[in-house]
Amino acid sequence: MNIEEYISSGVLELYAAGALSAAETADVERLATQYPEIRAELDLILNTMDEYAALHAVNPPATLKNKVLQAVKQHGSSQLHTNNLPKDFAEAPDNGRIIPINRSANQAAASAAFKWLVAASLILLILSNALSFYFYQKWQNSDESLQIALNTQRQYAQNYQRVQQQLSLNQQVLVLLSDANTLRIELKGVEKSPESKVTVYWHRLTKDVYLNVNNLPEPPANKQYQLWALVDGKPLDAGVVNGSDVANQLHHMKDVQQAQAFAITLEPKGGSISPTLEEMYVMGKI
Amino acid sequence: MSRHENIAFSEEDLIQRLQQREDAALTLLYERYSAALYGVILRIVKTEEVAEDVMQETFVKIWFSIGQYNKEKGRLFTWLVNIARHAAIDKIRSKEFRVGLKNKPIQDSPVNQLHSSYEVRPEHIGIKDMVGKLNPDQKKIIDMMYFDGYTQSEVAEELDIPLGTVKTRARAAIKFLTKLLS
Repeated sequence: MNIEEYISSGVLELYAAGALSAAETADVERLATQYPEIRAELDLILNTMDEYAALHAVNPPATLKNKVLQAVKQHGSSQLHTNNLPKDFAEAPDNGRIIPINRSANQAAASAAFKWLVAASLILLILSNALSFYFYQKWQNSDESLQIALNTQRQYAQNYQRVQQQLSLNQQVLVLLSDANTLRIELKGVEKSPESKVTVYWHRLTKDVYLNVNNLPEPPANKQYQLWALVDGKPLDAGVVNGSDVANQLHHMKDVQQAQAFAITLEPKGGSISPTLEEMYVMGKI
Repeated sequence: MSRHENIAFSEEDLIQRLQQREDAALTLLYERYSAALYGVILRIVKTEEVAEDVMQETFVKIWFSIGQYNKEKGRLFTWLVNIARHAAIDKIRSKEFRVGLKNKPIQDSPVNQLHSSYEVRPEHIGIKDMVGKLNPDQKKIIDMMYFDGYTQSEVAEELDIPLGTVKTRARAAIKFLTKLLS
């Protein structure tokens, strides 16, 4: 670089008068350490400005001395102990140079911009509150719908399970009924109730017994029908017919090892140990 | 080079004692530099009341940042004056100051107080006369930058002159001052 040109450009004078930006100030200081000629010229200029400043010297009021010493002491006792300098002191520019800050025009612009920013952010706040409320309501509605949907879905699941159970039961029954080892025994109404009719299915190997009521009078509330297997003339308990809707259902009864005939009597609820013969409704031989 | 160097203790001594936080050194610093610093501050803030506040702030700043003073970059006096200018210019730009100024009646405005409060020191009269020889345009540029904190581009804008002219006028002014003061 051309040092003479640099020196005569006036930039060093601007530096001494504090009219350069922070970056320009740093530039001058860097070049001053690099080039002794610049350093010497700069010292001369700084010296002149010092003298110029000193020309304005005014003796301060005598009372100021104590105020100043007091102020330093106060700050010193409150801050020196912690060794923690106040921010703006600690960051005072390296060599006491004044770093230009934007002046009032820019400040006014900045403060106007700030006002707009505040206004804009207030409007945004109100808008976002309104939106929050709107979405909160929507969310509440959706939540209700979701609960209803979940309940419905739960009901469907239960229904499906019930149907599934019924289906697998029916399949088992179908397998049983179509099995060659399953005997179908028709129990016909005796003289007490000639219209009655019941069908018993008995699997010879598994000993499973199923019963289908084709026609039986509705039992009184305190009584139940009970199935008996007759082995060598002796009646053996084969279980009671449960359920409210007795007809049109296949009832799974107790296993029966041996039987020559089946009969049904009306017994007190829970069944009896031996049949009440007067209350016999149907009977059928194998 | 400077009047200050005739005093019995050296500048380096003073700096060292300040950096060691010696109370007596602060008193010496005050005695040696208060008039120069107070004058610069008063020139900027215009009223003694505010100048006293800024003076206190200035010495607190000096006390806390003396560790950052680097003699490679310039003399102690330059550094001290810059801190005082910085504090005073910050003050006149502060909102508090500007609001206070607006509320004051016109006859109380700083310009009217100036002369009465200056304690004119006879040995300065000759020098002030010499400065009076400065071209007013040149003096204005120097004062705007040095005392009012204008940047070069703000000066150019304010006076409606090109940046290059700001530089040449500043250089001419300081050249002339150097001649006057040497």
